[in-house]
Amino acid sequence: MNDVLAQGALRDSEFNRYSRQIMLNDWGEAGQLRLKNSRVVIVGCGGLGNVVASYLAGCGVGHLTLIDGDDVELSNLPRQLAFDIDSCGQNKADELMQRLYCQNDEVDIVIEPLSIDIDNVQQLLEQHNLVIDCTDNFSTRLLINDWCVTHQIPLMTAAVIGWQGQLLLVDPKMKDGCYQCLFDAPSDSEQSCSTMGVNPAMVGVVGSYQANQALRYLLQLSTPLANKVALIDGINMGVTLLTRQQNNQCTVCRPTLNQE
Amino acid sequence: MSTNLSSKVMINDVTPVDIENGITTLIDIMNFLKLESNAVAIAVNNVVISKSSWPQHTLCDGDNINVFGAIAGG
Repeated sequence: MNDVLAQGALRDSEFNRYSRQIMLNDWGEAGQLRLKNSRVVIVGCGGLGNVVASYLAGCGVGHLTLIDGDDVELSNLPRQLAFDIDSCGQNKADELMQRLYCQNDEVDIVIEPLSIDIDNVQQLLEQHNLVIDCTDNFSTRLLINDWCVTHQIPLMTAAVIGWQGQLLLVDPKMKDGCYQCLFDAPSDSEQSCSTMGVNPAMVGVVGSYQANQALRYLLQLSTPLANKVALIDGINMGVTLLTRQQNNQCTVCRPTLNQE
Repeated sequence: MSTNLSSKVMINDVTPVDIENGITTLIDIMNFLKLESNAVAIAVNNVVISKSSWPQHTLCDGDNINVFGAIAGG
């Protein structure tokens, strides 16, 4: 990992603001500097994106890019806690940025109020050292996974539906497969919040796990997700960690491996 | 005295399945559950088995099988 991320210095106001996390033995000033010098892009500013962005901005991740082309709707409000009734009809990325600046004006936030697609994915995701997938459809998830594997950028991806969540990290340092190794051609017509429903509290649970593991990755602390997928069960309060393996027929990450 | 010699696997901690009578591999499990393979992953004893290996992966008595589908909500 690049030690340049731990360079620089914290201002007095930053020491004060982040004092409760800096006092953790495995966080410290060096960890806080790593967060300050990190550039993270969050794709999707709905339920998961609300939670993850709030924790990362609150914790002092120095640069956040927020991507979402959708507007806030009334049916979003039970689980997308950065928004209120006045947000309805406004772009989600813009509304979330305004909320985050109220929380912490010492971080840099850029918004992209548009949908990510094959034509703009390079422009939107490059220049970041972690991509966080909080999107709500399979085609976008597969697109982001493909770009991250190809460009060797780590990807933290989570999903939630009903009372269940899933979370995994696609780490270019590991060779344990990518998102597409697990699911190669899921259909967009199934398994989204709008078609299957979701418990709003589970969005908070899964988003918090996603933020927690993203912070551990940025802090260069251990995470089990690099070679595992976490299945989060909101009914029985269980987390099952399953070891992942690369699919030797994966059309995304096998070409990268074969070039080495 | 009778002895139960049948071999079973457990699916998602709740469903025991007899791995005789034509169910011997993971692809047989998929057929038994009547699931489409494109959006489903399977782990055996907490290790995800690549889809390409399903036809060859032979089930053993006592295997713990997790079958989980892709979800997209965010």
